[in-house]
Amino acid sequence: MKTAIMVVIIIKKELREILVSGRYQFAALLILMAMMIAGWNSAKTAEHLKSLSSQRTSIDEARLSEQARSLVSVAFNGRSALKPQDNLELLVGTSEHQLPDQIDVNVDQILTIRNGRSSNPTLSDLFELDWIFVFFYLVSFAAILSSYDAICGEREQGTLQLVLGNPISRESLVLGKFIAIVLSLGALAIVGSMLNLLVVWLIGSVSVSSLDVARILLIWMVGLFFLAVMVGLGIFGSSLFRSSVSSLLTLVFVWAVMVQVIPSLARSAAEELEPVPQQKTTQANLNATLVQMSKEEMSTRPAVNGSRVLNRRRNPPSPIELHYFDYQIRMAALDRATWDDYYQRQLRQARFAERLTWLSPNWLFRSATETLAGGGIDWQLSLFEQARIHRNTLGEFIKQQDQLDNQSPHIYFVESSISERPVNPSLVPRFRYQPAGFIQTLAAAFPPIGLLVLIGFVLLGLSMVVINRYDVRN
Amino acid sequence: MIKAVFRKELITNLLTYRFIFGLGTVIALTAIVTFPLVADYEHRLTTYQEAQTNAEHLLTGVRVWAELEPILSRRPSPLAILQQGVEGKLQPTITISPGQPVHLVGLDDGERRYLEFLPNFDSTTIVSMLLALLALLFSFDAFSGEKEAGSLRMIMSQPIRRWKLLLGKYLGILTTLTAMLAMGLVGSLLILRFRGTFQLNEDEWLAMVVIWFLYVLYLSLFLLIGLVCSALTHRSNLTLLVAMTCWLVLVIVWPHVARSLAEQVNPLPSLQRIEREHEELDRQFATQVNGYDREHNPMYKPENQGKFYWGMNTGDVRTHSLANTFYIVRSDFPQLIEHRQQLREFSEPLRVELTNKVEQLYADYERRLWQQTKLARLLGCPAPVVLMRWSTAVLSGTDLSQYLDSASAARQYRLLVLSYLERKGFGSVDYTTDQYRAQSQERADHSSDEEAPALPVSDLPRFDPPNDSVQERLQMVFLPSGGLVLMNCLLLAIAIACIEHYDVR
Repeated sequence: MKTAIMVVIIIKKELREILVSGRYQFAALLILMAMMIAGWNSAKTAEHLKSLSSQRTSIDEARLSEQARSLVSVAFNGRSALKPQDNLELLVGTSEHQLPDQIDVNVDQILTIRNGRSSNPTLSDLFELDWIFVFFYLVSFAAILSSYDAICGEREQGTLQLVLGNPISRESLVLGKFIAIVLSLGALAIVGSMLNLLVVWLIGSVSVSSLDVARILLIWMVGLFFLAVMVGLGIFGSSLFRSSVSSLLTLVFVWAVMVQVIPSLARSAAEELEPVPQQKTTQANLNATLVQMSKEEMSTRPAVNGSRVLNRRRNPPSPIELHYFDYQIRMAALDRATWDDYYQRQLRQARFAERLTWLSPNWLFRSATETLAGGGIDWQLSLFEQARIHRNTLGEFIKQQDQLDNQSPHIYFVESSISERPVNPSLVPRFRYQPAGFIQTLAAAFPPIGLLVLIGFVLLGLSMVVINRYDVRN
Repeated sequence: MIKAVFRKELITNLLTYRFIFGLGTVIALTAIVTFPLVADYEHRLTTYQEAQTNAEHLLTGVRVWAELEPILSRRPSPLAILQQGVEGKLQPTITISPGQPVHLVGLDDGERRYLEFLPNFDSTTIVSMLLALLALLFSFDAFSGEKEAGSLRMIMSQPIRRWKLLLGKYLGILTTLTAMLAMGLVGSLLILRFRGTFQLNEDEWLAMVVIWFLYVLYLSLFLLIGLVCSALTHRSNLTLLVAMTCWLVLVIVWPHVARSLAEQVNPLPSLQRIEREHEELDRQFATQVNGYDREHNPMYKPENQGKFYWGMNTGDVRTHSLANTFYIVRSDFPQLIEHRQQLREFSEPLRVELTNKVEQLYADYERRLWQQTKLARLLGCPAPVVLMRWSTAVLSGTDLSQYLDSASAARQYRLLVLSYLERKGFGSVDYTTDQYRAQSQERADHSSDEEAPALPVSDLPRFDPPNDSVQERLQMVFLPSGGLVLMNCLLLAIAIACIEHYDVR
């Protein structure tokens, strides 16, 4: 009880000091301004992307109604599986602008995976301005600048001896300072994000549902955990070093490593440890096998007189056609398996790289937040799976339509054996991206959040251990 | 006197823990970074060489003019290990043909679809972030630290002008930093020596030296910022705080804000739109060519009713699209060959015209892309990191502008190739019809599948790549690096002004 009161007193005293300090005011200015500019930026980007996506949908529809003149054309031309913009994605910000958002599939295979947002390759190394940017760079830096001298600064000024002369345990001093800094900066960050929401609401291009509000609250919570980790790091540094200058030097360096060096190394490491063969090599290997298969087909083709024409649809097909169709189906299966595997390996590689970036709290935060906001590698996996399911749905539809045509040989899926009759374009199944449910999102975001909390506790605990060994003499 | 200060400063710095730490970081990071970057470069180089041989092979094997499709590839720049720029993000090869628009940016390029969300790392990034930080760390306590230690008063009592003191300190720290950079350079050069495939020509050596000079200029700027902060504050603790904030704003906040502003002010048009437009022109082409064919093809003439039947070698091909540049007519009927020639006379100019339209769309897109980049650079130029990245990208030959230059040179070249083809005659027998077939017509030897001899292409105009000599690059970076020099001068003046007014008590 007594300690609790003590801690509260320390927090109050610290809060007052922080609020009037120059660095806090400067941080407030920077963070609030950045949040407001970010709000304007997200709202504008949302408008731009919205028009872009409606354009894409209408283009897709136009393509479909052209292709609907024949069923086989619907079956073998690409149908786009688009990942629509999540409401929070722009506000909170994700790495979506560098990830694919469109997978084109036909009944047989995945045709392309691409990023349909036009982005500037010279600028793509920079983050967009959004919540993640503000937390990732500004709030975390402010946390370090506010906490690097928490203990050693007091020692340098000689006040630490005085403070510890009172009946205060060293742990409660650390805890009080920790809580005070987290509260002051956390309030700043949350007020900033509210301002950001206000700006977005005023411009009025993003609508937020009640479930989104729950996610926003969660994101704030993760933001606070992240802030706590950075403050914990700062306090740990300040109780490890005797001079505040060396504390700050070390902390800023560690910060730069966490922000820039770890992700780049993770990228190189993932390329080394989870290699994906080059597209060219994959294609060449595939081609070699296909040529082999084609030769086999030629040599084992049944010798039947006449009926060598393969480009006419007829039911039932001749034996020679059946043989040929069988070959085509095997060929397509191999093609499909190869490319599915290739893309899955790319996804696995990226996921592995993401896991490696978890060594850095900044990237841990980013990972957790973007998962909550409906973006990032986790949902790329989901998009990929959904596109594959869509491929099957499309296949079922084509089979069902093809059954209506008596002349078609009903062999699936061979280009020259599917009906050429027109099809009603409104019947063709459309891809609809299923965003993950709240529970699923939570489950996906849990590991990074848990790690973040764990790191926070470890740092705080370490600071408490180290402070007890701290030499307070000048 | 400057010399004495310089010597003292240099020796003190070299002995510090900071120097050893910085040196270790620089060497370790350069080594770590160099390996994957060199591997990447080697991969690009083999791809380039393969593409080159392949292109040569294709040119010597042209049997009909419609097959003539020169492939241009951009030589990968070895200096991309210093600054990656857009290398690896944009397609390095361009195919020249009547039916393919020359374009640099498309919807699906790039193999690493998913790994792109992690930042790239190169020497320029290390210098622009970590070494800038180190520069501040070396200079922040130059005055405020000495004042705290009490040694500043001692020095000031010596017969030395304050600006000389400043200059001495500045030069001393700069030399320390340069030494560190040089060590990093030597480290990476050693790694490169072990990998034998990596070679630089004279121009590239010169460009590399200039890049390292720019790094020094950039670091000197941060050093001066540290000195100015130091001369404005009285406690080294506070100086460091101010210096770190400057670093955050200049290296991180400003470029990001400039990027976002540029993107909002000058948004890029949609690539899907262009793709769609392309599709529509393609269809227009098919309709017109099919219409012409229906009207003039002797197969459909009433007087020829019953003369042709399926399965006959009529050479009838029904796919007409812009990109399908050629088909070889193997027809046994002179009437049909004549018709094909007329069809070519009709279709080829149309194909060229429509493809040019698409190409114009892509060219417009690229223009917008360049405008956006320029705007981002203009807005970002108060931050030295933007100027530094800009000039090093140009010097390493990986800048967007250089890629765009090659694209426009390729467009010029395409026109040359088109006029060359036109001189050969779109309607000529050689354009689409297998020569051997044409000759064997007279010999009535239809069964032979022997290939026709290759056409002579020695008079084909050669591609003249845009001037990319080091002089050209130096001219291009005059503005940004001039900006860096100017900033240095300005900050030096400010630092001198500040130190003259510094209260040493």
